[in-house]
Amino acid sequence: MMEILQYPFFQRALIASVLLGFSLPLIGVFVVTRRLSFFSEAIAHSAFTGLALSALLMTPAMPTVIAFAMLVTLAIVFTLHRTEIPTDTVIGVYLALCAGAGILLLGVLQGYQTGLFQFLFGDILALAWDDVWLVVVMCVGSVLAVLAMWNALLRVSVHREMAMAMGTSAARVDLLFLVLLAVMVTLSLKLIGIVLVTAMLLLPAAAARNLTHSFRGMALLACVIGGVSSVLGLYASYWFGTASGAVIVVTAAVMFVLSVLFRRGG
Amino acid sequence: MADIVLDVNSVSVEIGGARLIEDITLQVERGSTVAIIGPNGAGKTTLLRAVLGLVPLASGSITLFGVPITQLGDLRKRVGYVPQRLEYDRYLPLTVKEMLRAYVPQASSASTEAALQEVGVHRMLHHPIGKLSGGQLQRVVIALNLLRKPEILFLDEPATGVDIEGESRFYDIIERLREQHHLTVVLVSHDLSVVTRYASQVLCMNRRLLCFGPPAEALDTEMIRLVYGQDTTLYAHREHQP
Repeated sequence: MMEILQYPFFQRALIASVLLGFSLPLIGVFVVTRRLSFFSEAIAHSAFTGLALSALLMTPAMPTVIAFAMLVTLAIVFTLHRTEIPTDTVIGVYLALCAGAGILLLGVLQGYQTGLFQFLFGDILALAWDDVWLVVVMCVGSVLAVLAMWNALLRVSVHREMAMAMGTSAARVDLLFLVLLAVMVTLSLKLIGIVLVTAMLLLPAAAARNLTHSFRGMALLACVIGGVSSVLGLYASYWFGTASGAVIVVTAAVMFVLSVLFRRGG
Repeated sequence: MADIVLDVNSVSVEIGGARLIEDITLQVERGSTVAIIGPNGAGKTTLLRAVLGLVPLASGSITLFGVPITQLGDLRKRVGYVPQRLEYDRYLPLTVKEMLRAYVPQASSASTEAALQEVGVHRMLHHPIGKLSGGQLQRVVIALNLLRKPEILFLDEPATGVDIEGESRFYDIIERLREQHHLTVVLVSHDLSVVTRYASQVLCMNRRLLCFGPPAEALDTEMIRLVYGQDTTLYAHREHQP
């Protein structure tokens, strides 16, 4: 079991998966408590259009996908402020638009498949050291950003208007968090894919929610569950010769089921 | 000359094309308790939200501590707010301690415990907010406000859904804190007994201003019929005569 650690591709995958397994759930605790899972899904699906645009405009894939995700985030926030349509409906509209436009454009650009499949399912074992450094920077950055916004996010979560009356700019907090979430979701796509990124945001946080009544406890547990799921999942995928992202998510899902079974009363 | 803390001048608020309140004027003196009353849909909460700068004004002006409400900046630290009980996210996995720390990060453990003790919920420090009763949660929010040392405290029907005894205890706490901390209190209530027991001034409204003054003068039978649409007689409580 230890011999696999000698291979650089596995070392890179292990570092990236542990860091992502730790930092995605930390953001995920706010995604779960603020009911933003649908938003994460929409941003993940915006990668279809981002990828198609990068092929169409012949620009680098990742920057184009991130730029498009930012655009979608701002469009959702703008629409929410301009209309009285419920949040989930607005997000659903943009999800449909992004997925539809992306598939349409990719259909027109026949033959462009490589990038699409990497973004759909991710490939953590194919990471280069440059990718690992990117993961290190984004994970450290996101953890620091969440810690800096921690109290403000909690204030807005408990009671938005009470926070605003006491001087917190709820709109600014919302926007900063959504941008952070969009960047993390998009950057994670190459590693664990569109299909699975939301799962890694939600499953450890949801499992932790079942096991504690304190927010700090939930955040710590979510990070531990995310990190452990990533390591176990990565090893299991090597052992069984299956896609690593999928096994990581299945491991996190098993932990969620266990958390339901061992949930503290009340 | 009276020390005016809050000055609301001919304020109207429109949301989605509908005029929710129109031409409301009031002045609140430092240290007083002003109750805003009116039937459901009268615009009481809208007025409070306007005063807190949470909704834009269609016309008129509001100044708090002599500064326009939209330019309060750091003065917001002197503003306290207790929202309606049912509006908190009770599903948030948050202990009382974590909630207080989120709103008042600079508060020490000793001052946190003292504030909770002052409102009688000091044993709740490590309880999840979702497990507190409505009255307990509102007292925690009062403690939260005390930690911020506000000069003016706004309360929006804070005791709705709390039993009669709990409600009475709750308002007794508010009154005691008003005296001890030299607070100015502005509260929305539909409960006339609260008004007669605790308010030094009452504002009656039904989208428009109907009356404003000391309860004994402003709330005659005719006014109550106008506000609530039925005959009611008010009796001043012996122990709480203003």
